[in-house]
Amino acid sequence: MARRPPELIYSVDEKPSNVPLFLLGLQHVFIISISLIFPVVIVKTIGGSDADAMFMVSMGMLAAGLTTILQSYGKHGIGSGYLCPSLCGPSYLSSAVMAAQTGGLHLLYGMIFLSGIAESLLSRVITKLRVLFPAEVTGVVVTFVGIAVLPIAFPRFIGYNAETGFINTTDLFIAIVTLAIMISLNLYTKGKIKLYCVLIGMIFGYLLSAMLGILNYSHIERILDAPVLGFPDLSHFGLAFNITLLIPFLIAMICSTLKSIGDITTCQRANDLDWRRPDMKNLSDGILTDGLADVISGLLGTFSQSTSSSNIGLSIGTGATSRYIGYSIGIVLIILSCFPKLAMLFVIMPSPVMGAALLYTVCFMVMAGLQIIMSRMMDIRKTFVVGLSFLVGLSAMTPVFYSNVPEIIRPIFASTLSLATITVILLNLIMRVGIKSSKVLEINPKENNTQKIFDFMKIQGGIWGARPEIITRAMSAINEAVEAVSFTNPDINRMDVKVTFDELNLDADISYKGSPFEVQTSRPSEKLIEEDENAIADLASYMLNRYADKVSSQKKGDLSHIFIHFDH
Amino acid sequence: MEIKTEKRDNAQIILVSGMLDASNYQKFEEDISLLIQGGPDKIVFNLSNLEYMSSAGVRAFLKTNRTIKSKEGVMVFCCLKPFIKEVFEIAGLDVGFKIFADVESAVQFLDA
Repeated sequence: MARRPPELIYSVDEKPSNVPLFLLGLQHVFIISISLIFPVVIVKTIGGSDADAMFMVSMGMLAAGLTTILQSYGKHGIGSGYLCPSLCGPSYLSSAVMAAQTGGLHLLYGMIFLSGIAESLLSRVITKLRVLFPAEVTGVVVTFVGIAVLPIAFPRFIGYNAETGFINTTDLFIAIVTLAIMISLNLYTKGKIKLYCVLIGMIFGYLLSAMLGILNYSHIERILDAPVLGFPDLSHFGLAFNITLLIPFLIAMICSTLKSIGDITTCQRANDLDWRRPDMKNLSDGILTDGLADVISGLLGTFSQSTSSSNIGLSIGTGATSRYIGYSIGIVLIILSCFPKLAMLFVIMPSPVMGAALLYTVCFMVMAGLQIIMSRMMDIRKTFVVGLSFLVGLSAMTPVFYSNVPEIIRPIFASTLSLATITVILLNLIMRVGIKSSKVLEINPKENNTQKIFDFMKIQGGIWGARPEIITRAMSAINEAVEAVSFTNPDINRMDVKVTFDELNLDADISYKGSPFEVQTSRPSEKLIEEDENAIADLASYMLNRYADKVSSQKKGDLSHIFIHFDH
Repeated sequence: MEIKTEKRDNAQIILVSGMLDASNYQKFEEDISLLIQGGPDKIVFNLSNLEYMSSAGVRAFLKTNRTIKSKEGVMVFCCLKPFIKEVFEIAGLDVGFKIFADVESAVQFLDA
């Protein structure tokens, strides 16, 4: 049973009343709408029409709405059950442009449809691939989903004009004021104002943009000119396929899946104070829905949908992680998809306001990723896995390094996220060579062994990437076992401590030639401990039993064994 | 394991550093016994530098308390690290002994 973190205002199972539900949903819709620039970018790249762009944007809203609802559902194997909104996923951007340039928008839709099927199938075996996704891998991916937003967020924040190379100071001013308002409201207010800090900041951003001329009458005209009600033009639908694009889209699918694993893991972690490791069944259901999102996107004729790291960051940042907000988001988006006039309000969002909102939410994503990485013990192997992945991933910010990479693998190098993801997966697999799942420590009970046991367990804990609190309990328990045996068997001069680890279990098998160990389930009295030195053994046995999740003893031949188990 | 002492008001502050386990608990008992022999009867054990304590260490403190009580003295603890606090709770020492967050509070209690 998940334990509700106290800092949440609305946790995953709590339903806000109608007005906050609507406003919180609207706040998320503003963030989701930022990603609608991806379809516009693709259409403009291939010289498509405004009608093509509006169609993709409307269908993007519809797809995002449907899949956000499905993701929030969380029953019967559909959805993770968390507030994990969908939006146009950045992982597919470069392969999407490739597909649109190669064979037009129908080819794009067809390849997204295929990727969705592949991801849905992958979701069924994801639990068996757990060894590929330890905390350091998902943590790097989650960190980079934040970093990968930078090329979209930062130019908008600083008002950078790629053609002139200059910064627009008016844009920068608006962005700074908008971001400052969002942060101030989060830090210095409570309750509803804190909840809506991003929405309020964005409204101020719109108003400031209007005052300073960034938003002007031409933008209002676009809203006035858009039809009130809009239904899909059927000529836009259609699927096409091209086998030469399979590899780039599968790579994009893997990146997107890993990003979603990171996103859903972040949701699990944000909603459970006792979170220890990813819930794989829940992840599997969430990834299936993520795959279905792409199947829906392909059929509807829009860009790939994926879990939104920015929105998850927003939910954590505002303390509102209720899944009911997901339903609110979904309904708003589905309605907006039929009302081009309303949708246009989002489409005209000023660049600096977009930049400010994105930077705000990216902070939480980056921190979530770093916290996942540091939730486990680190050793020199993991230092290289994480460190090199960061450095290699960041190198994609200088695209000129990879300008001559073969086209078929270019999507990997097209973004910091995909490059960091592939690097961290490969490095994790390589660095696993030589790691044994069990290790034996030989002990002479007549010597002082506490430091030896502690050093051994710390080193192994780092190699295995174990949770530090489990290693602390294990080393204390093993030491108590060794001390207890040395009291009851003062003549023995050798004990073997075999420690075995996998992601779910830490086990110690302590063996020695001596009398069997008695597991004490009740604490000896203080009087007994004070008067009888041998009572220390009983106290040690009792303390060992308290540290561990399970203790048992056995005599096999001339060897006595103490089995200590910890749930990891 | 290291012991340092300091006198404050009417109390003796004993700072215990390092690890207290089966290898050194007897020496600890002897050293403390010498310190309190004919000395102050109000003792504060400052455990801010105690990194680890096993069941043997629990016994050492229980025996020390018996010795101090026989002289009609009082001993209290302060500045426990989280792991040591957990050991106290498992061993039941948090019930029988007064534990304070800092040295000043412990000394004030003994002076009262």
